[in-house]
Amino acid sequence: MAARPRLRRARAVLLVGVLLSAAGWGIACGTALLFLLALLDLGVALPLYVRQLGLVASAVVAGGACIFALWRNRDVRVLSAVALWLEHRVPAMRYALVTLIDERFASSGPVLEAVVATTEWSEPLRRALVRATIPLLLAALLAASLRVVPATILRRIISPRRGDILDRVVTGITPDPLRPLIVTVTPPAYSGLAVITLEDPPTVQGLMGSTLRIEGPSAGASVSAVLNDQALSVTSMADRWRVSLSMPDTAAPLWFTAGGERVLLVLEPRIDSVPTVDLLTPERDTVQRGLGGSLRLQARLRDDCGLNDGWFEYIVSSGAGENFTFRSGVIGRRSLAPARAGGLSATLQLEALHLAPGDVVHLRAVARDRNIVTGPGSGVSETRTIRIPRADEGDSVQIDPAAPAQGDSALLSQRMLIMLTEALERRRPRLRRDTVVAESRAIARDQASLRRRVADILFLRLSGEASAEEAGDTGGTAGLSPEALLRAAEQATVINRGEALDFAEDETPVVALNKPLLEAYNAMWDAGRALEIGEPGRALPPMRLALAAIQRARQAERLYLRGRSAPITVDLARVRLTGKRADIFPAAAIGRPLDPRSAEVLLARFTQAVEHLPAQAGVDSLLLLRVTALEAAPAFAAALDEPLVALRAGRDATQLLRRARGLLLPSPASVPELAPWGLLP
Amino acid sequence: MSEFVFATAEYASGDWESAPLVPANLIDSLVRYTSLSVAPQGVVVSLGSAELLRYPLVYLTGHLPVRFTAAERAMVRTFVERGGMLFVDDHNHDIDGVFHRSATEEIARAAGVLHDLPNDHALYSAFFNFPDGPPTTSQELNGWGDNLVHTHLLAVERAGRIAVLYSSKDYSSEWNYHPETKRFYAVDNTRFGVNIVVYALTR
Amino acid sequence: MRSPVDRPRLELLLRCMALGALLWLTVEALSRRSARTSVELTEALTEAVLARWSTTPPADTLSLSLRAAPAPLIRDWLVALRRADIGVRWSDDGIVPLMIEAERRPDPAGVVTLRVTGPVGAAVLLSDDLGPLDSLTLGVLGASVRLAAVAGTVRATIGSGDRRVMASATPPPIVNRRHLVLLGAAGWESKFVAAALEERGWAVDSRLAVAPGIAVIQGKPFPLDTARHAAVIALDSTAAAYAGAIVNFGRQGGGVVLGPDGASGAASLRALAPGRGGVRVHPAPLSGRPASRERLGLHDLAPLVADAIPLERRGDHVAVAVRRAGAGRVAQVGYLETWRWRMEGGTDGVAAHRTWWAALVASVAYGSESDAGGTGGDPAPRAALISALGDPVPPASRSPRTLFPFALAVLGFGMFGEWLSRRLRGVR
Repeated sequence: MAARPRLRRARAVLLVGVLLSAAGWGIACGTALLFLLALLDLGVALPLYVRQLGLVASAVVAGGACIFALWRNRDVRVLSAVALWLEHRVPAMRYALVTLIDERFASSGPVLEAVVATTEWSEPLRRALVRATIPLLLAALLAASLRVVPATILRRIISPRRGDILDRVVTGITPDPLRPLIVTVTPPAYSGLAVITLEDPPTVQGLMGSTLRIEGPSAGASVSAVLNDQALSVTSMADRWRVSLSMPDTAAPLWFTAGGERVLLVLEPRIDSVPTVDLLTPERDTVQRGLGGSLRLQARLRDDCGLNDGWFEYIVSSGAGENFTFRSGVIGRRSLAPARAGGLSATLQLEALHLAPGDVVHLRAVARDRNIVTGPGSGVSETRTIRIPRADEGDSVQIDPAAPAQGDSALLSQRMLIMLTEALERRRPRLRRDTVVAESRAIARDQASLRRRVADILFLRLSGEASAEEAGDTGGTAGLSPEALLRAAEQATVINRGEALDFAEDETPVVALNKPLLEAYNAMWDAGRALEIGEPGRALPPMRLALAAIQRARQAERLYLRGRSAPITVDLARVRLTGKRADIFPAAAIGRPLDPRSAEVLLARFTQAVEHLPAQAGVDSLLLLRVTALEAAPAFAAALDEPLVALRAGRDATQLLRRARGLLLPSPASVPELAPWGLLP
Repeated sequence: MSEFVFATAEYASGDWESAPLVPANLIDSLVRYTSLSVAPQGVVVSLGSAELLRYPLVYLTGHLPVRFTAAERAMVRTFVERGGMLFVDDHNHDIDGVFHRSATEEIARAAGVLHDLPNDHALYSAFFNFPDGPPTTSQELNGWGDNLVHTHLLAVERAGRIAVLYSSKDYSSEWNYHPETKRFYAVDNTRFGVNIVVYALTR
Repeated sequence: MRSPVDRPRLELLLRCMALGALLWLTVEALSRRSARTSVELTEALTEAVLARWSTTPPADTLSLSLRAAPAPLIRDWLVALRRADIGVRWSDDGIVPLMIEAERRPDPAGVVTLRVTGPVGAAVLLSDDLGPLDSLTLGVLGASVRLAAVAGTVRATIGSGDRRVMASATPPPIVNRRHLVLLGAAGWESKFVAAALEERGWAVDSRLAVAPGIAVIQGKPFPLDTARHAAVIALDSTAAAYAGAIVNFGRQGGGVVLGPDGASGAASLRALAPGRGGVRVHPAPLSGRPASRERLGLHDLAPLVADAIPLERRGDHVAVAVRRAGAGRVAQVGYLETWRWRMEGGTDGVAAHRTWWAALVASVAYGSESDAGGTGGDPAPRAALISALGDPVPPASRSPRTLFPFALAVLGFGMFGEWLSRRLRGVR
C-alpha cells in the first residue's frame, strides 16, 4: 500500500484514540465531581441549590475536560503531524515519510516510497490506542465507586428536588423526628396550580381545599400531631412518618410533638377571590324614551384561578308608591372555563321585556369561578338602571314624597268660618252696622290667618322662610281704604301660573305647585276682601269655593321635590310635657365589651414574645401572633415570615424583627424638656 | 353636648324616600320617652358622600332593588369600620323579595354577611323591653292577609356591637305616619325605634 | 578673663543643685515606701485588669482617671477592692452626666415614657434590645419620649469610643388590673370615648343617662374604688349627682378626667377642675378636609387655677389642662365632640382618636409604685459611680512621678558641671 493511504489509516486510528481519550476524561472528571458531592452530602446535608449547582458544574467540568483533551490533540487531523508523530516512534524511516508527503520533494517520491513501504508502524499505533483507553478505565472506576455511596444520597445528587432531605438516611445517625419537616401542598384540581414542596417552613400557605402532606424523618420516637385541639392520624413508614390533611378554613396552628420536643407549624389558608367583573356597556344610567329598541351589553371578566361561566342579569320593576311587581331574567350566558380572563356580550331586546311607562330595568353582569371547594365564587359588576319615563313626567324630575298637606285642618277651619259667617249673615238684620263690620272683620282676620297657612304649603320657598305676605300683613291692610285694599289684593293675586313670583320684601322666587290649593287661596282673598268691608253675605260664595277647592286638593296628585321636602318639625317642649310610660325597662345591662384587636395589642404581644427569644417559647409566641395578625394586620403578619425563618435556622433575626415591629410602631413622640405629665400625642 | 340627628340615607338605585314620615315619628318618640338631646328635624344624607360620617346612625329603606355604586359601597364600609350603625328596613312585605336579596348581597359586600340576631340580644332591652324579640308589625299580621312573620332581625356585628341592623318586618310602613296621630294608637308602635336609637348611642 | 574667685562659687552652686535634687529624690522614695506606693492605672479598665489587681495588687492604691463611667460590673468590683483594703481613687476626666428613667403608665397597650437628662444640646441615641429607636437632642432640663413599645432594656447613649456613656433602664412589665368608669349622657361622645378606650384594652364600666331616673349601665361603675378603678371620666353635667364620690376618688389617688361640661352642675367638681372655663370656640370648617383635633370646637379652659398645668393649647386658648388633687390627678378636656375626629378624621382618625384618649387617661390614671417604676439597668452611671466610690479627687497638676526625670537631670547636670569646672581649673 502506498504511503499516503497508510498514513491516512494511521491518522484515523489516532483520531479514534483521541476521541476515546477525550470522552474518558470528560466522564471521569464529571463523575469525580459527583462523587465528591456525594461524599460531602453524606457528611453534611447539602442544600438543594448546592446540589443543583453541583450537577450543572459536573456537566460543565465533563464537557470542559473533553474539549480540553480534544484541543490538546487537535494536530491529529493534520497528516504531516501524524507523519512526524510516526517518525518519532519509528526512527528507522529517517524522515522519509515526512519528506514524502511534502509536495516540494515530489521528485523523490519513488525512492521514499520504497523506504516507507518497508517500515512497520502498527506497534506505536496500538500503544497509542491502548493509552487512549486509560481515561475510560478511570471513568469506569469512578463510576463503580459511586456504588459505594448510598443510593438515596446518589439520587439526591443526580436528581435533586425539593423535599428529598428525608431520603438522606445515614446509618449510625439518629435524625431529629421533627426536623426537617417536609410539606407538600397540592392545590385543588380546579385551580390549575402546581404542587409545591416546602422544607421546614414556619408557615404553610395554600388555597382553601388544598391537600397537605407533612413528613418527617423516622427516628423511632412516636410523633403526634394536633390541629385546633384535634389529634390527627400519623402514619409511620420505614424511613419517615406522614400526616395528611386538608387546609383548614381559617389560619390555625398545627403542633407536632415527639419525645419532649414540640414544633409549631402555622397553616394559612388563602381564599380564592371572587371574579372581577366590569360592565363596559351601557356605560351609565339612562332614561329610555321609547318602549322598543335594543341595548348592547358588554362586560370584561377576570379571576385569579379560573372562570367558569358568566351572564347578564336584569330585573324589571313596575309600579309606584307601595305597589311594586318585579320580573327578572338572564341573557348571554356563556361558559368561560378554564380561562382566567374573558368577555361577555349580548343584545337585550327591549320589546321582549314588555315594558310600560314608569318601569325601571336594572342590569348587571355576573361571573362565577371554578371553586368547587367552598362553592363557586360569584362576582358582579356595577348595576346600570334604565328608566322608562311616564308620559306626564319631565325629563329629569326627581321626586321625593313630601309631607301630606296641612289642608285637613284648613278644611275644618274653613268650614267653621263659613258657619260663623252664615250665622252673622242671619243675625245681620238685627245688628247695628258697626257691630256687623267689627264681627265681619274678626272673621276676616281668621280667614287671613287661614289663607297664610295655605300659602305656606302652596308657595315653597327656597330659603324655607315663611311667606313674605306675612310681613306687616295685619298692620298693612288695617289702614287701607276698602278700594285701596281691593287694589292691593288684586295685585297680590295676579299669578302667572308656572312663572316665578317675586314679592317686594323678599327676593327669593317662589314656585306655585298645587292648583286646587291655588284656587282656594284666591277664593280666600276674595272672601277676605268682602269680610273686611263688612259684607258677610258676599263673602260666603268665595268661602264655599275655597272649601270645595281644599277638598279637591286632598285628593289631588301630590308632586314631590327630591331633597326639598317640607320638613316636619317636632315641638320638643310640647312633646316632653306628656310624661313617661309605665313599662320602661329601668337599667339595661349591656353585654361584653368590645374586642380589642388594634395595633397596640399586637405590639404588646410582639414585645412579650421578643422578650422570650431565642427560646422556642418566643418563636412559638411569634408564630401564634402571626395567626392573629393575619386578619387584623396582614402586612405585619407577612413581615414576621422572614424573622421566623431565621429563628428556626438559628440565625440572628434582630434586624428582621425590628423591621416587622416598625410596621406597627408609630413614631416616637419626643419633646426637648422633662414633661411632668407624660406626652399627649 | 352634641344632639342626635336622625339621618335618612339617599342612595342611587332605589326609592330611598318612600317613608318620609318615619324620621319625624321616631324623633317624636325619642323626645317623648328620653331626655336625649335630639334635633327636631331629620336630615337626608347621600350614602356615597363623606357627609355620611357626620351621622353615626343612618336609616335606609326602599322597595326597589338595592345596588350600591362603588362610592356608596366604599363609604358604607368606612362608615361601619369607624363605628357607625346602619339600620336597613325592607319596605316591602314579602319573603326573600328583590329588595331583600339585593340589599343583603350589597351589605355582605360592603360590611359583612348578615346573620340572625338572637331574640335575647341587648338591642331588645336597650330601653323598652321586648322579651320575644322584634315586635311584629301590622303589615305582617293582617295587612296582607298572609301572616308571614319574620321571627328575627339580621345583623352584621363588629367587635361585639351591631354595625348593620337589617329588618324584613316593614317597620317603614309601620312608622310612616304623622306623629300628631300617635295619640290614636292604643300602644305606641314606635317604641322599638327608641330601642334602636338608644342602642346606637350607648354601644 | 573670668576671675578665679567666681569659679568656686559656681561649683558650689552646682553642688547645691545636685544635693538638692538628690535630697528630693530621697524624700520621694521614702514617702512612697512609707505610703506603700500608689499606682496610676494607664491601661484600659477591664475585668482582666481588675482580676489581676484582686489577686496580686501591685500597690495599695489604685488611681483611676476616668473618661467614661465604667460598667456596673466594673464599678461594683472597684467597690469590692476598696472593701478589701485596696485604695481606689478616681478623677473625673470628663465623664458626661446622663440619666434615664423609664416609666410605664397604666395603659393596657404598654406605652413607655422615657425621661432623659444630660448636658444641654447633647445628642442622645435611644435603643432597646432590638436596635435603635430614636435619637434626640436634650433641652435645658433634658427630654421626654413616649414609645409605643420597648423590647427588654432601653438604653440612652451619648458620645462614642472611650468617651461613650450609656445609661439603661428596664421598664416594668405591663400590668393593668383596673377598670375605667365613664359617666355621661347617652350620646355619640360617650359612645365613642368608651369604644376608643375599650379598643385600647381598657375595661370600661359606664353609666349613661338616657331619661330622668333611667340609665344604661355597663359593668359596675359604683362604688368608685382605687382598688378596682384607675380613673373616672365625667363627660358632662350628668356626673354632678356623683360629685362627692368623684372628688373623694380623685383625692385618694384615682384619676379624674372631666369633659367640657363635666365640672358644671356641682360646686365640688368645679373646685376640682383645673380650668375655670370661658369662651367657646367654634369648630373650623372642614371644607372637604378630614377632621382633626385642631379643627374641633373648643371650650376654652382658661383661666386656670394656680397649680394647673396646660397640656394643650390652641393659640391663646387652653384645650387640655391638668392638676394634682390630693393623691390623685385631674385632667380637663375642652374639646367638643371629639367623636367627629374619629368618624370624619380620615384614615388615621380612628387610631389617632383612640391613642389620644388613651394617653390622656393614662396620664392621670391610678398606678401603684410597683406598677410604674422601672427596675434594673444602670439609669445614672456617673451618679452611681460617685455613690459607690465617693467624690472624684482633682487630678494633680504635676505628678511627682513626672518630676522624677527632671530631678535626675538636675542631679546629673550639677555633678557633671562641678567636676568639669574643677578639672578645667586644674583642681582635683
